[in-house]
Amino acid sequence: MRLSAILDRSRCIAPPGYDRWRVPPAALAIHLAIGQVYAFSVFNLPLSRLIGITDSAPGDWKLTTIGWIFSVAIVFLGLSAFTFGHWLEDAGPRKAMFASATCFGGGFLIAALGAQLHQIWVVYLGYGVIGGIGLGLGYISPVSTLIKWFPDRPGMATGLAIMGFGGGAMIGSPLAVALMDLFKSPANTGVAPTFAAMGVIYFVFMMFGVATVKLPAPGWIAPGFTGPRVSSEGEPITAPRVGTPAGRSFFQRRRTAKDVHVDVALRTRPFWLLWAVLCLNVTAGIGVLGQASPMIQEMFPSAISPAAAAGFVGLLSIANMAGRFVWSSASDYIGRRNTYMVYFVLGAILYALVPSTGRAANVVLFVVAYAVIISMYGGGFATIPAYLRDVFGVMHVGAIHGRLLTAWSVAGVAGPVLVNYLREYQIAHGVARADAYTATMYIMAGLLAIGFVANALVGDVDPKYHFAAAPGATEAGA
Amino acid sequence: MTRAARGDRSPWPARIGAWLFVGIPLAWGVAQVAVKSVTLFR
Repeated sequence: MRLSAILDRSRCIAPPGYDRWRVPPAALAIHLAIGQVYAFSVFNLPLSRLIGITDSAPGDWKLTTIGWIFSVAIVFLGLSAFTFGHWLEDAGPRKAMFASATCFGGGFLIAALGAQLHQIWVVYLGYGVIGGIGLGLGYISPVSTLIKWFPDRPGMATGLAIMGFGGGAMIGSPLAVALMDLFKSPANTGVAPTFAAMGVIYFVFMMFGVATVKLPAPGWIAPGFTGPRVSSEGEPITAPRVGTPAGRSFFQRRRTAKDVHVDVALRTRPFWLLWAVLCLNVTAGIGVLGQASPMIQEMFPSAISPAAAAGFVGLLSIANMAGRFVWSSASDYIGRRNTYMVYFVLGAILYALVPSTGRAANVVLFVVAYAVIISMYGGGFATIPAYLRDVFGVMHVGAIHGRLLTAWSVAGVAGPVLVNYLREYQIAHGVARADAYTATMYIMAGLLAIGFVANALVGDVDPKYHFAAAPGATEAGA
Repeated sequence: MTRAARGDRSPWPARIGAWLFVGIPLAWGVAQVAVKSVTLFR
């Protein structure tokens, strides 16, 4: 049988009685693998010593050159999610996940060749471009699948998958260190064989997701729900019943039963408001996440050692991962809009308080405040797919999610630039290092206040943009 | 409502095995980071 036939959407439709709780591990297998991208910095120093081995030698790559590998990968994550989002809705999750595994694993293998030949452009092409395409496909496909399996608890379901992306760095970093220790020799840093080994390991790990992922059959009824009504493309739409998490919440925003086509979604006001919501929430978190270690050392110079700062970074990673599941699950009960209200209000208050914790030399309060802030940063990523599903329906939610991820790309540049340049500017103008973050914190609080307004303005999609389900009908509003 | 009443017929080893397949690496990674985090409170 041909490979394309095995991977076809029709062959991953679940049989009657299939346990939907077997699908999240398939999604996690993909996200735990591609989450490795956040741990890529573990390769930075070894890559800068491929010739000198113990220290950088003339001809070795500079750290600024190596830094572009991660940046290119993130850019191609956004581009591929944008470009292939619609394709993966048609092709089905198995084909998309297989493409993701092939690109991500293959990207590692090509990067291994680049490290071995000491050709940086080969590493850019391998890990950055091809691996980045794998990241984009692998990010949105499992999320879109889980939303279809858990119409009653989409926040919890997408939180599980996107938690895996946060957890992937925790696996990828020690795995890379262990493999480099295994392969290194007096004449080799061990980076190239580690890239090759990780390419194979991650491909095999992701194949578990490819083999086990299933889509619900058209007309499938989610347990505990009444319904179903079947959408224009055969996806299940279920109505909440009293007694279920979605049904009993007083604060729950109503969900749309009307689907919006991905191309039409971009013409609606709610899409761009949600784009701003994600962008502002991510900008406020991502900048300080990258500066966490120097920031805590500079704000508490006598109390925090470099080792303790590394512990702080580790704690933030756990908060980031846990927040993805906890906040997103909570959104099933309190509603997506209210969850983002909490992110923006609580986040702004905590950012405004952080400078005071520095002045009071209160390390514990500082750590707690940041752990909560970063948990909401992660929660923002995990809650947005369910928010999109509430507003635009389930039909093209994966593709719309892919387009919305361009907000992440913008925030990924804006956040660190804002934090780093403001700090440099303050220090250059005579501000003490311990106080150099104060203005940044207030600006972050201001960004979150703008996000609060954008979130408050998110409303229902104008009915003229709803997808027309009648036979022979064309897209409404198109 | 029990799984059987809902019509779930998936064998339990498959369910548990799938969760262990992803859970064990994740627990290992979290444990590595948690151990490192302890240095913050020393």
